Amino acid sequence: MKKAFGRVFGYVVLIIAAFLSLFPFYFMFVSGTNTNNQILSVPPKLTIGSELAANFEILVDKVDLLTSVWNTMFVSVVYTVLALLIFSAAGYALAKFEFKGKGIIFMFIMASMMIPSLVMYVPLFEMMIEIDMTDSHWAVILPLLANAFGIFLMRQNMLNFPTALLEAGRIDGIGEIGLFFRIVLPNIKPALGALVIYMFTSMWNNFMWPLIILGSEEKYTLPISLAMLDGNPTNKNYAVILLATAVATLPILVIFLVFQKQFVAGVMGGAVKE
Amino acid sequence: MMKRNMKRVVAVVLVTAMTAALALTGCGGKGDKKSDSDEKVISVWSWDVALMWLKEAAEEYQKEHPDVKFEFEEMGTDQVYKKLSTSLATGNGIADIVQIEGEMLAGYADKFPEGFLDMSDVVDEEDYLPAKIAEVSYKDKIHAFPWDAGPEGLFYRTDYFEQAGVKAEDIKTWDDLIEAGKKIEEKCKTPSGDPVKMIPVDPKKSTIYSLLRSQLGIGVFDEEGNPIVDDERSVQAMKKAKEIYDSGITLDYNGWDEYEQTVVNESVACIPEAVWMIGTIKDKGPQTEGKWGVIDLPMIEGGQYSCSNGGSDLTVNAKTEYPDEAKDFIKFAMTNVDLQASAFEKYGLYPSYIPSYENELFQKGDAFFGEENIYNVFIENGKKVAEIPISPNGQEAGDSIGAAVSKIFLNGEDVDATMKALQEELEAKFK
Amino acid sequence: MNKKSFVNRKTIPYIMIAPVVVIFLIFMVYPILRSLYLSFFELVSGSYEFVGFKNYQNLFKDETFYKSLFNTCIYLIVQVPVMIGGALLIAVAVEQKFLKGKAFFRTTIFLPSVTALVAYALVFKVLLNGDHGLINYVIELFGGKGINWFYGEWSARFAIIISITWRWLGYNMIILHAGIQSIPNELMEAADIDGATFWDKLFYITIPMVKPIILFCTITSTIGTLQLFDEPFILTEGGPNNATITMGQYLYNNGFRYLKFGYASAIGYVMTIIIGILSVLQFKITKEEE
Repeated sequence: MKKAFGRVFGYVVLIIAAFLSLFPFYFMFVSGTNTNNQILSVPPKLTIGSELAANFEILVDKVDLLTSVWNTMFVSVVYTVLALLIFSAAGYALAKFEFKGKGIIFMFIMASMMIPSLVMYVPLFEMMIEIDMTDSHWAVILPLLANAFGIFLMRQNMLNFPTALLEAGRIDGIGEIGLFFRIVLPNIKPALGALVIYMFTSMWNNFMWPLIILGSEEKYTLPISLAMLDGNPTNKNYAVILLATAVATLPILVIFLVFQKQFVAGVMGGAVKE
Repeated sequence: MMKRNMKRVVAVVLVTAMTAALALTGCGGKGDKKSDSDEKVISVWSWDVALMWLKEAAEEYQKEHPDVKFEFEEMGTDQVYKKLSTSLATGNGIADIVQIEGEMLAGYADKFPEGFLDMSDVVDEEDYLPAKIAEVSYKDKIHAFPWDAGPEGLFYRTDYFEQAGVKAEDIKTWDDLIEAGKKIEEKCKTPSGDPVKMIPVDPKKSTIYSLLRSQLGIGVFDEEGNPIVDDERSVQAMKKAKEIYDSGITLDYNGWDEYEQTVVNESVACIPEAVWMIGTIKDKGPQTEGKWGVIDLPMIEGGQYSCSNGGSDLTVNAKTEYPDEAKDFIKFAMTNVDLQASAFEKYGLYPSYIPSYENELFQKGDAFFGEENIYNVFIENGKKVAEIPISPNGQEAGDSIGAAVSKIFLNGEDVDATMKALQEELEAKFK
Repeated sequence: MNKKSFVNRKTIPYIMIAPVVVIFLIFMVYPILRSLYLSFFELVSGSYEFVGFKNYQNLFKDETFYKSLFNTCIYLIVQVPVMIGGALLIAVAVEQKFLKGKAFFRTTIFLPSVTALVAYALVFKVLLNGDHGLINYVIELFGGKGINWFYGEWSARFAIIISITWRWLGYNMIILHAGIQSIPNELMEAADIDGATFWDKLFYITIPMVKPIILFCTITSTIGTLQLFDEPFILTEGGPNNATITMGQYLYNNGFRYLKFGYASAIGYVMTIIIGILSVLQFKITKEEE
């Protein structure tokens, strides 16, 4: 009896949680098929409507959706690949070697996590002007590579990497660089998966920095294009905004569903091995 | 197995690096294209309907000036300000012509006095609504070209008024409005069955207080920039605001989306708002066609001025390559009566250039709002807005006043004491 | 041909760490120092003027700053434990043997952390609406009285807390769940044989076993809460009466709305110090317990 109650209770809690979690997505996708007024009425229309095509037309008319999807894809992929490479290298060095300055470097990286990024945008922007790199995707990507969490994640995951495996490789005559690419990386795939999700989503959704640094429409990333739709102070079309949001969210959902197993395992690695 | 994986990794890295390199060189090349030919390219940042209209104006302009080309970019308000904040110091990465909301101008004019070009040579002060001239002038410089204005009136629902037996012409003071509001709430129901409220109010914002204070002709700061919120007129305005709020005729709203909802759901009988609300009402309440009228705002005791809300101006980046062309284009667009009239007709951008009102369009009115010509209300009120000096600290002061309004409306704190504390707070901040 | 001897066991860590060090020097160390420098200046008429410690002095007299500090503390004290607790409970529930559709629940509950802000804002305004909101409807269904969420200082704070919890609970849940999965099955089976109840197992096995992960979640959530910006910015704009404003939002207001970059930098530095102290404290406390 008691057991049955526990089960029912468990299900009820989870179903409510799942419902609440899904509802906003449902609202977002459904709203893209309704008119602005249907969304704003009380209570809002919550069934699929017939306005999808019309909303989509307004959307592509207002922003160059394809270009911004491509831009976002480009910065996110390049950023993620670069991060994978240099963060795992750094994590490997921090976890598996002793060298001068290691303590200081690691401490500084950790401490930098605490600094609100808003403070740094003004100096960074000045710098980009100085070296004439504004309005380029590289100016978006490079500064954001100073990301402590990613490095920390990699280091934690490599702490438990069996040293014996490395030694065996060395005995086999594999060079140090080969060791890293052929032994280390293939064995920490879950951690890399976690890093992919984390880096990719953080860049995909990043708004403030790309906004400050990018100047021309053909360089805009999705969050900026979305904000553009939202820009009119007195007359907003929520149907179009939510449709655009849905379009922007889809790739993230896909990435998450593909990499979620690794993500969980990878974040775990980071969490447990403190 | 491992080897093949390795190869794939290398391939991916290489391809990415190459794409990246390509993109990098691509970026470098683009910026220089301006100087390649004799073409003059003027870039413009603007948003929504204002942008659409500017494009049309540019086409007209190019008929006479084929050598000038335009590059329009849609930038939301939020983006414009973030960009200006970070880059106006250097002028880098900012378009040649930038639209800016009137209330935001002073902050930039103060922090970056050399950021925008002086417009004194192209603006004939006599020709524009005095309140707009006051808005663009700061420290003996005209920082922007005055564009659209936002004189306010009282939009009201004729059907609700009729149902409750209320006559619009009887509403002369805010007390009248409160009385009428009580009747309407008693008699009228919204389509979804709730009682109809009189006006929407955001109890966390300074809006209603600012409106009443403007009717008394003063601002938050005096001409020297000293805060004067403890002035008796300011206190009177806040007391009246509280009276209105406490009377129960208001409908709370939180943010712009909920404000628009009051039109969609027909939940209020009146909206005290600027002329641009015409567009929002037509757009969000198509089912209410023919059920609206506009009258003067109710007046506070001793008040003699009208109010305005919103409206933008056009600035020219001081670092532009083509200062004369930019100014010339703006002047052309802003002082062309036909263009200004079409801006109002098509996009609801109400001109601040006074000769525009002679255009026949303004004699016609808008069928959506019934037989009577509602434009007259705005034209008359536009001329009666007090010339309140602008302050660079308006944003910050506005936030502090919003907090004070919350204290008074929501926490029931004493008006005199709160206003005194507010005065002290502002003095400490801005001395 | 010296190449081979250059890359060896001694030099490889330096080579591996070099890119990160270069990037941090350029894009982290420099901006940090520069904004520290700026915090002693203020923008006056287009150029920075030296003001000494004035920004910091003003900050310590600034009521709005104290209020933002207070609000942030409230979020920290109420929201972080509630969220971690809730995440743990759901993680445990998802791991129950009888449960069907584990993956479904895990994925859906994680999803909120990828929602875009506009959608999030609109949805929560709809849900929390005073007259017609779903949440008030449920409250009234159970005989309670609907709450005007955004118009009371405490109710607005709770509206923010509800929203943040919704958005981040799943993220923490999924991390905790992974930890729970790694608890050896034998432990649970042995407990079952001894007749342990659900709660016994929770308090004597699960929680002690996943403690490091709970700490990890707590610290990241603490840092996130201290830098909180989006939720109050879009849902309440910091109101009413600054009841929901956070330090991050106040920094933003000063830097990007009031154009006081020096002051904003000073706020950033005070924030950094507070975050630093709290993180060290949390580490210390858990280390001692161990």
